[in-house]
Amino acid sequence: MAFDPDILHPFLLMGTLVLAGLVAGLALISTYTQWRLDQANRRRIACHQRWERELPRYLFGAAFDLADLAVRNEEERTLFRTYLERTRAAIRVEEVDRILELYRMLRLEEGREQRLASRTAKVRALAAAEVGLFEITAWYPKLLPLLADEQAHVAYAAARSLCQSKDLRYAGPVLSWIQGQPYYQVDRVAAILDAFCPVLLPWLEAHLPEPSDHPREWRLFARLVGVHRHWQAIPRLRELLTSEDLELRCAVLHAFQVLANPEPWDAILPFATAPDPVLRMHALRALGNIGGPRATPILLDALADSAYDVRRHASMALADIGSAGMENLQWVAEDTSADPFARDMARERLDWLRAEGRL
Amino acid sequence: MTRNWAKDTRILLVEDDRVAIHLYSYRLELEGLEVVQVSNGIEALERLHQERFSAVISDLLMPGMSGLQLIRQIRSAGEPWRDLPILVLSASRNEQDQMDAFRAGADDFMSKPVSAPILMERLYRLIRPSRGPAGA
Repeated sequence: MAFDPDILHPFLLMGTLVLAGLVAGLALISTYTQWRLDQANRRRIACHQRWERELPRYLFGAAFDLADLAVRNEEERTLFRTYLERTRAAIRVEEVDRILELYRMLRLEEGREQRLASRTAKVRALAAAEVGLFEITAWYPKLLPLLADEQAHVAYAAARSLCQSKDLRYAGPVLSWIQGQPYYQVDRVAAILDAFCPVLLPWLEAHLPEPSDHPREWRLFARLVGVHRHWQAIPRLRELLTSEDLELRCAVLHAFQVLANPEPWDAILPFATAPDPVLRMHALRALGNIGGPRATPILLDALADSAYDVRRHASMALADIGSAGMENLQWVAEDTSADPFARDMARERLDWLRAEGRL
Repeated sequence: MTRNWAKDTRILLVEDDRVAIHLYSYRLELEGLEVVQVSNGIEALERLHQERFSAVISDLLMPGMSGLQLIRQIRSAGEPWRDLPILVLSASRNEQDQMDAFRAGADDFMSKPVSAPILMERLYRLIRPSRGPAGA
């Protein structure tokens, strides 16, 4: 049955006009949205150019124009807060006091309570980070509820700020928060504890539960001891070497390697011949770092270990000793009577050293 | 102590963070140094080919060519860059990053946030004119 053109054509015309209107409307909306974004970008760029010029002059004591640092509305206040945070992250010592002074002078702290309770997660996170960066001591307790925030990055910002406080009253809550993180994220998240150290380390040693029940926390302790060169913890690390938890013993051996203190040499030595290859690996690196040339015979023996990774780490430890270690590697590589695995590993390490430009 | 080292001293500052680059530039220029700013390693190499510099201050993490790659390129090019002082400024506190920077050929390493007076002192130590004969 054919359609009557006199009836069909008006429908087609109406439909075309409606569709054209929709498309035009969408185009207008997106143009307007883009224009708004462009305007916001222009304002942001203009502000940044102004602050790039005046803020260094203010910080380093030269003549500056306060009008150029003044913020005129809430948008600029937010931008300048972020800009000051980036500045704070770049310099320290005398200039930090001037940044804090400017922060208070321009009343950038206004609205902080509302921002910490904002429905927008990003605003909450920025407000939490602000407390830590600008050392607003009175507001640290208000960050504690944010540790339970449903958004992970908000809780992370709050935890990091609490660590920056270096106040041991917050050590417990932050540690509980870290322990509540998924297992695969703990190591990454625990990096915020670096800001809490070294004051945190004696507290951890005194307050952590028994290693047999909570080895994960003590692994964290071992890592922090190494990173922050907390030599006072060496006796405790020696005790931890008796733990049954393999990863904890590896973490302790790694901490000894990083500490590079010769005192625990005798405690590490037995692990160079431990049944587990992972323990042997870590022990050899630690002995190499601590003992230097004294460790050479042990490392040379380990070049013939049955496990490839142990041989590899023994060769790396020899290379890290310096010229004495590299000479030994060359001697093994050229000795036709040497164990073939040892000779092969020595050659592999020498090739790597040449590629790195260290030989 | 009066220092004349800043006169005729040109520093190539390689940093992708605009806030940091302006801060460091201003501080170095206050000391009397001439500072050329670039935001990535490729631009840095281009400027090094065209102009002479007394030292390079470089970040590690940058888009495109990283600071480590830049340092390796500078050191592998031979003269006249073989002895060009290179100071690394990085947000990283990782010891491995420091080791990698020194092994690549950096002369010094400072972690951000940076103390401006210490930065100046370390730069001076890298650039200062060679001392005269020791002893009487």
